[in-house]
Amino acid sequence: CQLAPVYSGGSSGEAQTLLSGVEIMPIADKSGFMVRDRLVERMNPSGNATLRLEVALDDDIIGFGVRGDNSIIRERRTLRARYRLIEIATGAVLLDTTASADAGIDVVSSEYAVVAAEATALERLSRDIADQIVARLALLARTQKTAQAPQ
Amino acid sequence: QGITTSALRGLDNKAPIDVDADRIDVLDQQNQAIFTGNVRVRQGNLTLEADRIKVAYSRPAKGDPVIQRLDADGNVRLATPSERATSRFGIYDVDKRILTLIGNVVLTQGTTKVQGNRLTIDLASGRSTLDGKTSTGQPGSRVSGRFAVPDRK
Amino acid sequence: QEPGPPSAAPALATPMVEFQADTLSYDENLDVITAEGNVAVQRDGQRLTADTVVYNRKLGTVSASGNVRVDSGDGTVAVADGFELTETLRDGAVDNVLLILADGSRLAAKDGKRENGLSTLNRAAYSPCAVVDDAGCPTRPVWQLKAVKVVHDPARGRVFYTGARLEMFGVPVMALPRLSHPDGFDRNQSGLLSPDVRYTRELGGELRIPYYWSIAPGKDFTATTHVYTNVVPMVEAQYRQLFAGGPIQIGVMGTYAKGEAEDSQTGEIVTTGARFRGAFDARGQIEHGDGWRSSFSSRLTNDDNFLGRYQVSLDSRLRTTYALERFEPNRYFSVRGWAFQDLTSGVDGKLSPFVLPLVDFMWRLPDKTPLGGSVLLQANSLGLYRREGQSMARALASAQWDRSLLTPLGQRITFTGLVRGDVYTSSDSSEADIAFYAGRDGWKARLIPLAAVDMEWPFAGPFFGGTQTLSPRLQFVASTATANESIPNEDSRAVDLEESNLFALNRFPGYDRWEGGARMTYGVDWRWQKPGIAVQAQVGQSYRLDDKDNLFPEGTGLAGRVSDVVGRASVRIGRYVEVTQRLRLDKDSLAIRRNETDLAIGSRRSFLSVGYLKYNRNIALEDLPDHEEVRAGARVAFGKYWAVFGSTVIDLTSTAEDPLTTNDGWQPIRARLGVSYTDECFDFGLTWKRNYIDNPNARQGDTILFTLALRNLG
Repeated sequence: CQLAPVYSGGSSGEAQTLLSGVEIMPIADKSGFMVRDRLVERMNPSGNATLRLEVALDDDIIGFGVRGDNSIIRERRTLRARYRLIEIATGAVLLDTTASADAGIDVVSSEYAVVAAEATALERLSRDIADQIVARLALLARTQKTAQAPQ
Repeated sequence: QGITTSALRGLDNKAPIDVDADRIDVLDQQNQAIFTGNVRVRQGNLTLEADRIKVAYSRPAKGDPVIQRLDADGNVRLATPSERATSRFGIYDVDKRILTLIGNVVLTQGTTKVQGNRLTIDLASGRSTLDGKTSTGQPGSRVSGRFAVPDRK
Repeated sequence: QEPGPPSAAPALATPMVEFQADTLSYDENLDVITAEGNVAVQRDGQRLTADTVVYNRKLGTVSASGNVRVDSGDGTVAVADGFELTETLRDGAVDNVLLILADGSRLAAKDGKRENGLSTLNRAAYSPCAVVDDAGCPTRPVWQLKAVKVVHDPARGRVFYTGARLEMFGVPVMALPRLSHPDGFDRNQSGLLSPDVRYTRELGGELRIPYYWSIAPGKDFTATTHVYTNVVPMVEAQYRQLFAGGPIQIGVMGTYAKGEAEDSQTGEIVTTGARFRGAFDARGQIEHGDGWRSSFSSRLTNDDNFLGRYQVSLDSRLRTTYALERFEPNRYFSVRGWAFQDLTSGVDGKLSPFVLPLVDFMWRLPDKTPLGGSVLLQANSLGLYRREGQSMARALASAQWDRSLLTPLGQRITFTGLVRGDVYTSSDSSEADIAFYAGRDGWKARLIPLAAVDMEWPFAGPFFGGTQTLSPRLQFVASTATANESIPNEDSRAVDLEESNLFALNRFPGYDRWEGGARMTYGVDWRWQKPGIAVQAQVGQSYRLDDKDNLFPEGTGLAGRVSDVVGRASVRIGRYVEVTQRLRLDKDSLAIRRNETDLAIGSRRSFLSVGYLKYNRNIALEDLPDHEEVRAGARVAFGKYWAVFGSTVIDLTSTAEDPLTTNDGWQPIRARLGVSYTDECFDFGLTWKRNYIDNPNARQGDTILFTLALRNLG
């Protein structure tokens, strides 16, 4: 199977060129701040954008591992993102898809330790979601390139 | 102030009818006279104007001719102190005391305004009927209108 | 000369009636206008259509006959054989009338009259149900209300009945002598909501009667009385208000009754004396503008078993928190407070900590210096106070520099430099509940430098009609051996290596513990995407280059120089099938340490979801026993309106896995099974719930829940 590096050509390759031409819109809440911070760091927007990325996040925590006394021993925090890449000039939606990441949290004896672990999990999930979005957008450059000039 | 009783009620069809126009052509054998150009017919407080009115009269043994019927066409306008109507044709059958206006009839009385295709006013009974029928009696357009509601406190 | 067009109608001072008809006749003597031939009459929003309309101007009456239809402009339509109306077209008498209200519900009557908006109907029947089935042929409404007299008062937006009788499926069911309900115009109408009925072994039969009071747009209050056969009634009140900045909601519930608790010596469940027992909850989020926002939520109770016993919730830990946050494009700041209430029996409330202030600050510096990298400044402070037990406070600040570059071969290499300074103080460490976490009293400080290099090399290519990506990743992290034991550990206790924290710079959660030393972490991420199919898999492990001061407790997967292998895989087919498998394998024996499998099939209407977990971590430090469990939930919708649903949680832990457990590998904890019917006018639900283990907050036994809601009546 022919596998080629996604970022071949380095910072002047198609993938990074596409990524730096994207304007990343603000995203709500603390998770939104962290996702956007990671997106900006990895995509390195150049300022004159031709594409616009809109991201909406949904975060929830469920408990499971139920013991006899109805107490739970494990939580799972899931961060879901729905994101769209829009061509600014035409308004055409180039990509409209979702990404999700989850992390497990042990319900330890101190409830504050659980709260802190949930917060740390959110930081890690935000980075993970941002990385998934960047990887998916970089792929887009590849398919457009192959579409334009198939090998 | 709404529809006041129409001044047409009780029009005395015996009252003299005088007609003036730019031109008169008398067809004596058919007992008819055709008035053309700004024709105006007046009987009592009723005025009928039109571009052309054909008058048919009968000639009793002695005395003046008696107008039986008037046929008006072109810009027919009927006016009385209380209402006004316009249409394309108009027929005033003096004997039967029926006045008929045909062809997008608009009847205005104070703030009341009604439109239809054929208006028949029976001067004897005081009943007037407006409908959408065309001159040949076919169901033509609809009747519509607006009338004020007398405010009764 | 040509008379001018009729003078323009005077300004609409006097109310005008407009009409269309086939013929119109006017009788001067009687002053009666008769219009015939699908007559339409409009007057300021009222519209009447009929075969014949006779308008007697002297008496001011309008009588319409021949499939008469009056559309009153506010959504109500009346259809009748004959109508005697005043000129206002608003009031009048009618016979054989059908009133169709704005929300589609219908009110039919032998005869009726309407005066200045108030419609009174005699021998009437009301129903919001459809009167035609899908094919359009007439069908009997599921339920209807028949009454001697019905009054519809649009001003108060309600319909009032005298001598009413509820008929369901054509069978008289219940007499409701005096009844009133909203007429569907204004959704949030005050009034009774639909009651529901339950049965539990403990409380006996229960009737819940909620009363909803819409105080003003954006402000409402609901009071629910719970009446039981075995115990004293309980009252619940909830207030909601929508401020300019956002919504808040406050709820209180309480009763004066006996309670149940676990006897600390015998462990038996005993009844305790009658006293006031209740719970409080509140939530809200208010935007203050200029990026500032407050959010708060709180749950409190004064009886550990109240929430469970009265079927409110089975949570054993309640949280109260307030957060003031500031959002800016490159900066985030928040100050937060926490308080906790532990409901598990035998836990002393004085040990629960109060946390204030918990400050969080992140600032991404805009320009790319030094060396083309970007810098993130962070600061955090924590004050944690316990009435009995250890209290501590800390303040820390860090600067993290990241510089990532792409090589022509497509490798993304990221260099990271981090320096962090912490200051801690602690008191009463000797009274800490777990000595291992206590650290030592007094002031401590530490400085943490870190350097890391991270290399990812993503490849992509076509694969069976889709695209696959394969990205290996290698990371080196080096940090000095840092002081940990002398520092109290309040927020780094929930440690478990998994794929989501494998590549984190510090695999401890929180800040109190820092993973020092040098290590190498490697992993690979493989994805395959095709329209309708998404498959992904990640696996990874880390290796400690030095073996000093490894603080990770046993069972967390990080205790040895070589970490356990962590991985995860998921397959999603269309929107209807998703399977996710998470694993941690022992580094030596590759035995399963943590295994979580989740399966979800189907759409929202009909689905099956199964979750399986097996923990074989033998964690000594925390009260986290090895555990095996399966939980399943399913809903099958059939027909247009029916659905059957169920869920269960089964504890599969056997004594081999957890010597303390009493069950033998198959112990259902709880189960639920129910059937529901909902159509446009009628909701019905019957649910059976069973608790298999006897707890003071959820007694062993069955609960039957029966809900019946007639739309607009409830």
